[in-house]
Amino acid sequence: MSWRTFLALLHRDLVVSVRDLFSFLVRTLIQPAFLVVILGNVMPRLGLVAPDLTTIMLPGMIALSMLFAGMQAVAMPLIIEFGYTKEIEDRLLAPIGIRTLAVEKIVVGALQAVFAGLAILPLGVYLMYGEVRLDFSHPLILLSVVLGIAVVSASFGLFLGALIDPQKIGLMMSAIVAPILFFGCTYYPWRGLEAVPWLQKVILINPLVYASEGLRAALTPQVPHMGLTGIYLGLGLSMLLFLVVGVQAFCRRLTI
Amino acid sequence: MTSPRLDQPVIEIRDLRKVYGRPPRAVVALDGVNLTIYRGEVLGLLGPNGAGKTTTIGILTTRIKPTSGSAEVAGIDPVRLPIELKKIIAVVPQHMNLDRSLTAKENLLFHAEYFGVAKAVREERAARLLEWLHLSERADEKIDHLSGGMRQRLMIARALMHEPQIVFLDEATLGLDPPARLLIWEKIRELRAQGLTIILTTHYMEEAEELCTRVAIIDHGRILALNTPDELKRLLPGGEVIELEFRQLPPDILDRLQGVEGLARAERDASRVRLYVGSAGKALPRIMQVLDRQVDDLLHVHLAPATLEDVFIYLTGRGLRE
Repeated sequence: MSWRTFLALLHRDLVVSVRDLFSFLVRTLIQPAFLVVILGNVMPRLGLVAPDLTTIMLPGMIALSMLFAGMQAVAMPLIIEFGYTKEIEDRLLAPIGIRTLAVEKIVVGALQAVFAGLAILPLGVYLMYGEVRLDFSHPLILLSVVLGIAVVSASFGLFLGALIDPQKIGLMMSAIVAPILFFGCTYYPWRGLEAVPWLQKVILINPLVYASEGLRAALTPQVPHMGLTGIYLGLGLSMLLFLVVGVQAFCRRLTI
Repeated sequence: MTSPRLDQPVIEIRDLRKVYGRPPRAVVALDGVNLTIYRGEVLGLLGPNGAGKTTTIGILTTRIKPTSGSAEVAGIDPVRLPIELKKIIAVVPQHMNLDRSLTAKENLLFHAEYFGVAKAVREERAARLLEWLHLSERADEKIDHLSGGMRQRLMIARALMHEPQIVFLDEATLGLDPPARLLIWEKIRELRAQGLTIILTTHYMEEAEELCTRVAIIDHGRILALNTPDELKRLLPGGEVIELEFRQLPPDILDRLQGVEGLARAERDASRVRLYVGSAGKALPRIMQVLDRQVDDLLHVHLAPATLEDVFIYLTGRGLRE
């Protein structure tokens, strides 16, 4: 593996991301921030939801922001490069293998996911109505779950980016992104779904479930959450699936 | 000018075939290409769209896998050691693929960084290449603000940032206006003078004629002829071409011209005849004599030394201006 080329490509992507910081923040934070304002501030004030919702919701909001930030950071440029600009063809003439290039894309996406998580955490706490009880006494769980979500989100982006044509971005948003968003245990804990058993089982195919529950286990362990084995298994399997299929699709797309 | 080192082959292509897709919809892009290119050459691949030029370049630059046959570039097999090969070659592609998120100068700097060029060296080289390609004043502008000619020159600069041994130019002047094209020709000539090995594809005949030490005429995935532009023109039965355009072309014109002394070959389309002759000066009065009263119908007489276009038409057997 050519580390020098790998680092140079990473350097380029980070320079471009920093330059793009404003639109990155808008893209990543606006939607979760509005959700927090309505569900976590306005509705508790009106007494329409339980006051606990803010604590239940915050890990879900962080998971959601991370998943979409990493996914978009990888998928959007790829869809455009494959479809129109062909810039990827230039990167491929750098002395680096296609697989290594895929790994580089995943590293960049994962970094952006972590950054999104770090940005939404204080914003969420600030915007929520009342006190959010966060517990930082499980740093190892937090670190491993955050890394897991970051890699899952970026490889999910590679998977989508390699498979979706630019004309189908709208379809991707409504057919893939929307269900993930609503059935991802972001506003409700997975344990709570025992009241709706079929749904509790069906949503296990959604990687956002493990992301939300993982952050609950790490940040708000007092809220009933999925066991750590389930969380790590879910994150691990999603990671494996998206990495294998995503890297393969990426390589196939670029081999003529 | 440094002349090509005909004793130092740098690219060897043997029986190269490329088939896209599977039967029954398979398309044969290369149908057994053999070609040796020497150090310091500017070799032109000349042919119409779809002839196989871009596929040939794609294989030599690691981007396309051949179906069968072999290629070696500077002793390296592009299929087995693509990363090694990419270090010593450069490509100026047909489609603009500059990094739109960066400025002109950053495009050069990052490219060199990908290739491991030291920081001080890449700064110096970028400044020099921008100057050489008349881009210094636009160095800090984003790609979207540059004209087509500037982008093309910037892609040439980018290709030179890691000091490659071999440069591939795929339709480097496609779609450019004449001044932009002439500037690029001038720069390619300067690179040739420095002894760089250049492989260029074009479907502009005059471009191949102007720039190349040798030209391979390629059509339907095969090389039909390979030689210097002058030698290629000698393939023609006569050294010069007379083209006559008529208001109304006499139907029996070819028969009547048959016996004219010095006429090697004659072709016609709806309104024109194309006559290959040894010497236009000697042949023309005889032709006029044969035409007799139909001279009144003559709109246009065009005399020219044979061009590669004539050679192409002669070799592919396609009629005039199809």
